[in-house]
Amino acid sequence: MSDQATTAPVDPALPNATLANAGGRALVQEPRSALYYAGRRFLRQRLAMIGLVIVIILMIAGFGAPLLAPTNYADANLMDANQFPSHSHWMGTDTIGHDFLSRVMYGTRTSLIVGFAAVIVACLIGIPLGMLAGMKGGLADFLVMRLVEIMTAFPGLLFAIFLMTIFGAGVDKIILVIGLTSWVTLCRLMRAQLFTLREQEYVQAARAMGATELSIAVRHLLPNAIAPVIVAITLAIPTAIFAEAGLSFLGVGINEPTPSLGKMVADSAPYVRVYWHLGLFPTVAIALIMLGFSFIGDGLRDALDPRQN
Amino acid sequence: MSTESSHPLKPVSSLGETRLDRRTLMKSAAAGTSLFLMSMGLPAGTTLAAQSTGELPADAAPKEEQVFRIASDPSIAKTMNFYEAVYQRPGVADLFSESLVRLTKDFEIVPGAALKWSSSKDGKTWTFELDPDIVWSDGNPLTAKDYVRTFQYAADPEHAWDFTWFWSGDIVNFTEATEGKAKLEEIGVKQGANPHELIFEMVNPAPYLAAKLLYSWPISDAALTKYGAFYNSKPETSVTCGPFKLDKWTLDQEIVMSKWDGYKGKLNIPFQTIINKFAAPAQSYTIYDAGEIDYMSDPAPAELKLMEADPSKKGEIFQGVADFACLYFFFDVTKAPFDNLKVRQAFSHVIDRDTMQKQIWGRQAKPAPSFLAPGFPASDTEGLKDIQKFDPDLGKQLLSEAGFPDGKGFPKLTMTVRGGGTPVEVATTQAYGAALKQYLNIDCELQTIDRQAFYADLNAKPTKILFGWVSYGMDYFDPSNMLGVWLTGGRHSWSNPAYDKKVKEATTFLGPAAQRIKMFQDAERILVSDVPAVFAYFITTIQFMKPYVKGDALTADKNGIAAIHFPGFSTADTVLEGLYVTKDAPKGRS
Amino acid sequence: MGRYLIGRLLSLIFVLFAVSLIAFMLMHAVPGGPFAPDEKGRLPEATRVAQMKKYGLDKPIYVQYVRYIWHAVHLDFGVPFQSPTETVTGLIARTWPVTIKIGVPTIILAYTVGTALGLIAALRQNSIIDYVVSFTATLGIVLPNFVVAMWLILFFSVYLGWLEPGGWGKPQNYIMPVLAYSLAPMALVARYTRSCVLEVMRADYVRTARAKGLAENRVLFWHIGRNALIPLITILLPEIPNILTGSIFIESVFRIPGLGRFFVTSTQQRDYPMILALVLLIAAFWGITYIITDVLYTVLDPRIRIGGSAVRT
Repeated sequence: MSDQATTAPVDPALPNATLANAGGRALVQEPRSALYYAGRRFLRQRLAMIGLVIVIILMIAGFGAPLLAPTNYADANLMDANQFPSHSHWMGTDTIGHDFLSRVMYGTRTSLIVGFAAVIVACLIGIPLGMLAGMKGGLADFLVMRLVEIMTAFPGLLFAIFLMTIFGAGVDKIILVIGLTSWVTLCRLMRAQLFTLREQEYVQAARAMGATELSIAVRHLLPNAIAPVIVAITLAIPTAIFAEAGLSFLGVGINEPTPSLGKMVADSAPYVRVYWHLGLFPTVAIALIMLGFSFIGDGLRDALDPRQN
Repeated sequence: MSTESSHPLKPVSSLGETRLDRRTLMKSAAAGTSLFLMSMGLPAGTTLAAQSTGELPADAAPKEEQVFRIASDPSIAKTMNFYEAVYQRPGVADLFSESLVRLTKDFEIVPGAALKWSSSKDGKTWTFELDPDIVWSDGNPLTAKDYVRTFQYAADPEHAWDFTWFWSGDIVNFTEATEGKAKLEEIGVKQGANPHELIFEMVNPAPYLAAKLLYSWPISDAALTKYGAFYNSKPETSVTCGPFKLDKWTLDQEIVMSKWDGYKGKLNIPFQTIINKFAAPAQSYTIYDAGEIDYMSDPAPAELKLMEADPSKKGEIFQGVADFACLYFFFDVTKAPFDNLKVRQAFSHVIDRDTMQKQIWGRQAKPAPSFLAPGFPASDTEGLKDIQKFDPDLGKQLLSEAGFPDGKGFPKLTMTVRGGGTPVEVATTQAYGAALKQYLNIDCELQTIDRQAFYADLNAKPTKILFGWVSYGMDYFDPSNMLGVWLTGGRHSWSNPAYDKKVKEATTFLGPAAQRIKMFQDAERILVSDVPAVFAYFITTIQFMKPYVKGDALTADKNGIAAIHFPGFSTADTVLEGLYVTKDAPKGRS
Repeated sequence: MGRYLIGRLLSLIFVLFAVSLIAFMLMHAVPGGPFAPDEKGRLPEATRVAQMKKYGLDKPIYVQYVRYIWHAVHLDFGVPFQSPTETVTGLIARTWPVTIKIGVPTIILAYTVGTALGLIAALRQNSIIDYVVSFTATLGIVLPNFVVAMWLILFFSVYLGWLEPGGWGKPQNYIMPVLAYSLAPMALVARYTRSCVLEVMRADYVRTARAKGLAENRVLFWHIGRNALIPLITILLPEIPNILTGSIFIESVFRIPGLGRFFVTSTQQRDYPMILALVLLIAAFWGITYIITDVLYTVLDPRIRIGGSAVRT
C-alpha cells in the first residue's frame, strides 16, 4: 500500500521530454482549433466516454446525496442495524443502523471532495513552484528541485501518518496532507514543460517585443504547457482518493459520522464474512471512481496528443 | 498497538495485542470475603485444582502430542519479564518464574512460590515464606534475594518501569526511590530471618496485599546481573524457575517453550510444549480456522456469528469475564458544558444499553449501568441500575433545564476515541454518537487518535480530552483497585472529597469484610450519581478453543462461568493445570 | 557524465540531512513518547521524567539531533525501542531480506506479465482484447491491495483450502502475497507499455523505418521491443523502492516477518531510532534509484541528454 497510498506515481506516458518536444511542435497551431480537435478526439474514444459517464453518475449520486439519498448520513437507528439489502434498504444497513445506500452516496461525496480538493492543493503548490523553476532556472530552480527531491525521498506513508497525528483526523486535514504529499509530480511536469517552451520562437518573439516575464508566463507558457498537466491532474484525483482509503484503513482518516468509502471498507473487515454488503458496496464505489477517472485520464492523454489528428 | 481493555496482562490474548481474556462472573461478594480472609493471613487455601496427581486423563493424547498453540501480536513482544515492561510482553511471558501467589478460577488466592504468609497486627508488615525447593535453571535456589532485587529494579529511576504506580504509595519508600529520594535498598521489601523469608513493609494497613502480589513474578538476581534485563529473550541466556523453559524465540514469528524438567514448583501442567505464534489480531481467526492455533480470544463479531452458525463448532465457544473491564464515556467535569451535572445526567440517559447488547455486543459484552462488574467484589449493578438508566425524555428535559433546549446552543462536540479499538468498541462509540444526535440533537464528531497520543492527552494535567472513550480493568481482585482510578489526581479530572474519603477509608479498613464491601458500595454510588462518566459495558470475553483441548479449566466455576480465567496461561493462576490435549487432536501439530 | 553523477550524489547527501531533520522535527511534534502509554492513567510524574531521561529525551532537541547524526555518520543507528534485544541495523538486516524476497518476484511478475499485456493491447488497439486488458489492468489499480489480500485468503485458503492463509518459510507462502502485491504495479506497467508502444508506432522514426521498407515484424521487434524497456525504467524503477521496502497491509495479512510493518508500528510506538533509520534508508534508496533511472533513460532514449540542459530532473 505504501506504493499507492501517498505517492502519486510519475506518469511515464507523459515522459517530460517526449511530450514536451511533441507539444512544442504542435502548439504553434491556433490554440482554439487544437482544443476543438482534442475535444472531438476525446469524444470519439469509447473508454473515455464510459469513464466520463461513470464519473458524472457518481458526481450526481455524491453531490446530489442531500436531495437523493434516503436519509442523512448521520441518521442511524440502532434497532435497524445489520440488515441485508432489501426493499426498504437497497444496500442494507450497517452495524449501527445507518441506511447503507445513503452512507455510500455521502461517502462517494466525501471521496470526490477529497480527490478534487487534495489535487487543488497539490496544484496550488506544485504548479507555481514548477513555473518558477522552469521560468527562472538558476537558483530558484536549484532550490525548488532540492525541495522536490526531499519530498520524493521522504516515505510518503510515514509523512502522512505523522501529519495526521499532529493535526488530528478530519476531511480538511486529510485534504491538506494528501495535497502536501502529492504536488511533486505536477511540479516536475510543469517545470519540464517550461524548460522546453521558453526557448520556442514565439516566446522569444514576445520577449523581443518587450513583454514582461509574467505576461509571457501567463499568456504564452501556461496555456501551452497545460495539456499534459491536465492529464496528470485527472490521474492524480483517483490517486488522492486511494490515499484517503489507505489512511482511513490505518485509522488516521476521517471523523465519524462523516462517511468515507475508505473508512467503510476498513470498518467492514471484521464483518464482511457475514455482512458481505458492508464490504462490497464501498469497494465497488471506490473501484468505479478510480475506473472513471483513469479512463478519462487515458482519453485526455490520447486526445491531447497532437499527433493523433 | 491497541488494547481493548487497559489490562496489562495479555497472556490469554489470542491476538496479542490486547485483547485479554476474561474470566468468571461471581454473583456474590463471597469471593471478596474469602479473598480478604485469606489475605489476612488465615491458613491459605490448599484447594488447588484437582488433577494434581501427575496422571493424564484416559482420553489424553500421548506426551509428545501435548502441544498447545496460541497467537499474539508481533509488535508487543519485547520481553518475558513483567518487571521489565508490563505492556510489552507476548502472550506466554509469565511461565519462567513463580509468582508468590496464584488465583484460582473461583478467584481465591492460593500459594504460589510462597507457602504461607502472615501479617503484623497493624496490617502493615507482611511475611511470606518461600518454597525452599524451588531452584533456577542456572542452579541457584529461588530466595528472597530474587524478589528483593526485582522490587528494587522496579523502583529504580534508571529503569523507569512502566508500572511504578502499582506499588507507589504502597510499599514503604517505593515512591521515594522512584523519585531518587531514597536508596533502592531502603524500600520496604526485605529478606527476613532466613533466605526463604520475604518481608513487605507497607505504608498503610494492606489487607489486599496478597491479592495484589499476583503480579510478583521475580527476575533472577544472578541473570539480571550477568546478562541484563532481557536475559529471557534468548534461549542461550534464558533462566527459568517456572514450569517452562525457552527453546526458541524467532522474532516476529514464534516463541517455542517446553516443560522444564528441573521445575520444583507445585504447578502440574499436562502440556509439554507451548507455542506462541505472532500474528496481527485481525488474522487470528483465519489461522484458528485453518488449525494453526488451538485457542484465540476476542473474535470479530462476524467470526463469532460464523462459529455460532456452525453446529459442529458451537462447543468451541466460551464466554468469560477476563479482568472485569468496564468501558465508558468520560467527561472533563472542570470544563463547560460538562461542569454542569444536568448536562452529564442528560448524556447518561440516552445510552440504550439493551439495544446495543442486542444489535452490537451479542455475547461479547454486558450492559454496565455502573462501574464494578457483576462478580467483582462490591459490585452493585442491581442497586445502581436506575441512576444512569435509558430514558431519552428525561435526558431531553435535563438538557433543556441545563440551558440547551433541544440541543440549541450546545457547543460543537468532539468525542475522542483511542485508535486500534475492537470492532465492538468502534460500533459502540459510533452508536452513542448517533444517539446523541437522535435523542438530544447534539452533533458529535468522533475523533480517533492513536494510543500514544490518546493516553498522553488523557493523562495530561489538566487533561486535554473534554469527552472521550476509555476502559479500566482490574489488576487485583479488590474494589480498591478498580475504584482507585477515580480518586482525585488519578486518571480523570473529576474530584469528589466524599468519594475519596470513602474509598481511602475502606481500602485500609481492617474490620469485618462485609462492612468494608459496604463502604466501597457507598463510594460507587457517589461515583455513578455524579456522572463523571457514562458507563457503557462490561467485557464478557469470547474465547475459541479447539474441541481437542479439554480439562477442568473449561468447566464451570462456582458461578457457572466456563472459560479460561484471568490472568490465564501464567504461573499466577491455575489455568494450565486444567488443560490437556485429547487423542482426537491432529497429529504433529506445531 | 562523471561530473553530473558527483553532483547528484552530493545533492543526495544534502537530501539525507534534510530528510532526517524533517523526520526529527515531525517525530517530536507528535504527542506521546516511546514508552508504553500509561493506560491506567496512574503513572507518577517522577517515572515519566525518568522515562524521558532513559531515552535521552530530556536533552534539548538540537542536542538530541546532533547526537543522533553523529552516531548515524558512524553507522550506529541505536537500538529500536520496540525491539530492544537487537540493534536497528540488526533489525533491518533481519527483516529487509524477507521483504526483498517477496519484492523481487513481485517486480518480475509485474514486469513480465504487465509488459506482455500492454504489448498485446497496443498491437490490437481498440479491439476487444485491448478493452479487456485495459479494464483488467485498471482493476489492478482500482482495488486496494488490502482488499485483494483479504479476497485471496477467503478464496484460496478458506473456500478452496489450497493454501495456508499466510506464514513464512515454505515456498507456498510466496504465492498469495506476491500475487496481491504485484497486481497494482502490473497494471501500471501494462497501461504504460500500451501507451508507449502506441506512441512509438506513430513516431517518425518508425514510420521512416517502415517507409524504408523494413519488414513490419522487424520494425516492431526492434523499435518497439527496445521501447518496451522504457516503462520498466520510468514506471517500475521508481516503484522499486516502494515494493522492496514492503507493505504493512500485505505483510500483516499474510504474516510475513518483513520490514513493511515497521513503517507503521514505528510511528505508532514513537520508536525514534527506527523512524530515523527507515527515513534515511528510503531516502537513500530513492535517491540512488532516481540516479540509475536517469542514467538508464539516457542510454535507452537517445533524445535525452544528461548534463546539459537536462529536461528530466
